Amino acid sequence: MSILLWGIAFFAITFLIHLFIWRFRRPKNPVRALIFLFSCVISFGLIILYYLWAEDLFGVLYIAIFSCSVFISYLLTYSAIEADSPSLVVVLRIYNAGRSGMSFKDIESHLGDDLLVLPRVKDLVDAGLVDFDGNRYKINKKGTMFLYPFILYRNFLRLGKGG
Amino acid sequence: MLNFIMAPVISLFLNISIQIISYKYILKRRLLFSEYIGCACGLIILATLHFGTSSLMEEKLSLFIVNLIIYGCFSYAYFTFINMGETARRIRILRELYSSGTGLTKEEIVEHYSSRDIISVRINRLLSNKQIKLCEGRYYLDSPLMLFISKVIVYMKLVILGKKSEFDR
Repeated sequence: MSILLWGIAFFAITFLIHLFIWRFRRPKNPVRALIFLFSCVISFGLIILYYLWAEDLFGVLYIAIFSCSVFISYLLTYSAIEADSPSLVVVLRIYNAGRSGMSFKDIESHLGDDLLVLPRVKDLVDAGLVDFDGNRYKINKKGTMFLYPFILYRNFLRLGKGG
Repeated sequence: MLNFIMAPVISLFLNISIQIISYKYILKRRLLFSEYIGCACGLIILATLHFGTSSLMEEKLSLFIVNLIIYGCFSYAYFTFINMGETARRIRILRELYSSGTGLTKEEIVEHYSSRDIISVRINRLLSNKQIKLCEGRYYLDSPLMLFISKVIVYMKLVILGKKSEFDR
């Protein structure tokens, strides 16, 4: 049970520090900042535990795996929290319309390219996956490396472009 | 102890294998259902790896709870990987830029992948999943599930980012 408790404690410490920092100033690259923050907390915590637990390597390794798996899940959820999902926006709009419902035209009004497409292009530039020369956006080496697993997987299962 | 550490990794590997095989050969290309099947099979394997050993019941049970969470997180990560390829706008834009070779201008990106395309695809997906319904040209909510998820995410946005939408100031 100590594995569970320590794993949750490391994640909770990271989460609280992250919440505190984000309230004052959100980092330009939040994912990188979150990974850095978690790495610091987990490294420091595991070193202390290793000596406290009389060098029980397996126990420490178990906590590391547990904490990392919870953190990865949070990291993936974070991107859904940060960017507005079009499906969720559509559902909320239909809900707010109540009994009168909504036509396609009503739904797509105020949901133009400036809201749905261009902020995501900016995210890709900010994350260093795409280069912008003032006119054209071009995928760079880092972006290609990031994209390859998706292309390989989707080609293997013969899935389309997605999106 | 090493057996227990490896259990979620083995279960995840089998989850992925079963998902791919069931999608390609058994379920006639039903992606979401294949994900559920893979996850359920991995879970059964995880339980078998734990309760099939000769360790003390107390130890087996406590490590099973830990491994259940690890396996759940790994499965969620795999589920997200599949869904990102299926629905994420950033991945789709990257694919368009990758296919173009020489890159694209803002106007060309929008020409390949517009907000109208995005909304149409999502409305069709919500209709086919019976989350919304279409009556006389107007859309209505058909199931409270997506509304519940939407409200949870809005609440999480408020807690973490201090605002309801990425466009709020």
